Amino acid sequence: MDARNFLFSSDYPMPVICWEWAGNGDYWNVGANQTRTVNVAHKLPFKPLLIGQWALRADFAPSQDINTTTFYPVYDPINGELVLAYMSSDGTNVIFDMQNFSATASKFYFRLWAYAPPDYTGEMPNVYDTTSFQLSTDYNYPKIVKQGTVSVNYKSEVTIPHGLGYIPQIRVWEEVGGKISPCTAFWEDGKKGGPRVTNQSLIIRNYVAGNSSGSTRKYYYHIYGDES
Amino acid sequence: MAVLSHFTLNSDYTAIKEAQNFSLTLNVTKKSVRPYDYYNSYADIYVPAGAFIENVTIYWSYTGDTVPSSELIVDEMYSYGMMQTEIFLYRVNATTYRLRHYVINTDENSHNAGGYTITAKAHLFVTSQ
Repeated sequence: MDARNFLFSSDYPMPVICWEWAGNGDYWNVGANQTRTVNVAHKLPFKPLLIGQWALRADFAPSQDINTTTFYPVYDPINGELVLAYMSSDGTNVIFDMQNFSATASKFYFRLWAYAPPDYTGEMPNVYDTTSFQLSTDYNYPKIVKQGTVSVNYKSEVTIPHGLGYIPQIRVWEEVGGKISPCTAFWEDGKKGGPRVTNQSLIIRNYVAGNSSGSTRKYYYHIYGDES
Repeated sequence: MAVLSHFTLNSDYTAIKEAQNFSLTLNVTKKSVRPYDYYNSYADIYVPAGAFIENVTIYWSYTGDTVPSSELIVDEMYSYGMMQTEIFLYRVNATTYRLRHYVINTDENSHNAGGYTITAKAHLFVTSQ
């Protein structure tokens, strides 16, 4: 069955939200040339996989995905990265690591949601939709065709076949030092790091930079039947 | 509460919902970049106002590979190792997402850059909040 032909299908698991941090206008204040780490207990029996956005304004205009640690709307390519946020989770907390190298104080706003890791098989807490519907045919719902975890050695890559014949949507998270964060991709020293996807496989490389210890990393992935 | 691994669909739980998807092409002009200088280009995606659109994921196609990320940093992209390019997507306002591309010359000599096209596909997801 071609998952692309369906808005949702009982043949495929749907990634559901088990935790949220909508913020309600809350923010973390970080002074000029300061850093700040805030831990928020998630009260989940696992390390959650985070998705979401962050911003320096309550209206999230502008804003960007949390898998981008540099806040590009204030980015200065000559003077470097001014405002950064690193999102991660461990077994107890969602961790907000914020850095403000600008000359003025900044307010950091977040809108976060989380999935359970693929290897969790226990009970799931509910996060209810505040609209009238839990499922609505006005939307397309992600359909997981393959999910799991994989360990990748330093300067190596692992290929995860999906065999769909088209390029699917995916999400990848990486675990470093016991903390899980969204995994982004970059190329350095002629090597491609992080995830990339073809019409047959998801390929994850334990990238050269940012891994000064040369350690093996664990990656969590979703491969959806929905086309990219 | 339920053991969700027993279900593929369960209306007790909330999922993110894909509301729209877009394709975007950004042509990066070929030009000479002076020492310690940069240039940038961008393309905008316009989305309907009203709904809060979030969790945009984009898929880059460059040199034949598709890379899922809202950011792509390529060091040493060019044959001379002092050039860097950064590509990223962010939400500008309620109706606009922007794909922006920087080419940065960190060398003491001028270098040529650009002359390629980046394609991206964006998927806009919504939640109830």
